[in-house]
Amino acid sequence: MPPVEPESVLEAIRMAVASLDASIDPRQVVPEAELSDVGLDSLAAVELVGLLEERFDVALSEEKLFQATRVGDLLELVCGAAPPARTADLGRR
Amino acid sequence: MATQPLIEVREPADEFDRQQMGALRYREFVRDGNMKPLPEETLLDPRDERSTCLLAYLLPDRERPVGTLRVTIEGRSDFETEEHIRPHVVPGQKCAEVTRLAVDVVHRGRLGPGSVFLHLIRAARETCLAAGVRHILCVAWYKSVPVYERIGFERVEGPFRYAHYVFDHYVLRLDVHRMSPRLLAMMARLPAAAPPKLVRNA
Repeated sequence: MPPVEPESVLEAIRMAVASLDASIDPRQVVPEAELSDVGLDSLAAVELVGLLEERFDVALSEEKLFQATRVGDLLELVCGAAPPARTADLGRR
Repeated sequence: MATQPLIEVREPADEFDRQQMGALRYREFVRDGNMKPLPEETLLDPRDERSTCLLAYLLPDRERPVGTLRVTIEGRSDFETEEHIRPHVVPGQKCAEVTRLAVDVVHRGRLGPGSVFLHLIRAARETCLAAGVRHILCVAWYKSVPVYERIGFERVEGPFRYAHYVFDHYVLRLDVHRMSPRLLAMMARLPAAAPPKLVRNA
């Protein structure tokens, strides 16, 4: 899989946030921003991860996501994440 | 993906747990401005004893809960006397009510499967499924309504106000078979949890 560029991940985070809550200004979604200050509700914070995982075909761990407090943390997680394990792949080994 | 659970959801085991639950509810409800301060600084009531109360802990800490939610299954007198809920109970279809959702402000907004909220909702859903519940009813203050609607709840009554609460509330109803697919997918990724142990009021 080609490396994921931070710029494209940041743009995807902004688009996902905007799609989940139209009242949030995507311009405030910068790497330095605290996720709690972005304004996503509890469910949107759950859904955001699903959108990013679909977009970049990666799987993010519960533990690392729990520790992520800034937009930049999420950005780094997506850039460094491995693709999700698939049953079909395992079957070929 | 994590194989070891990060968050554990269980019922209160003793009076210490119940006091922790009451303090957490009170602290977060007052902090959010949805409840006026009370002298006793706790939020416990007789329905707790007839409900499945869920407490979420961030492991390895099993003493200080970071979230809580209460599930009351239809069939108890106090369920049936809830004035706003009663008209929305569908005859012949067992239902439950979820109340007292509170998450410690420090642990709100955690992402994806790291969400305390997600763990509590999964445990509530499993409790309801184990009891054969078809519909889940809840009363939510206006700020929480959009969240519940995206879970799959539909607004069925409101707005109205309770004593001790500052803002408008609504009754919402969820068909447990019509939850948000994205939420269900995220729940399915969580580490396996012990099945709901008790449904005291089933």
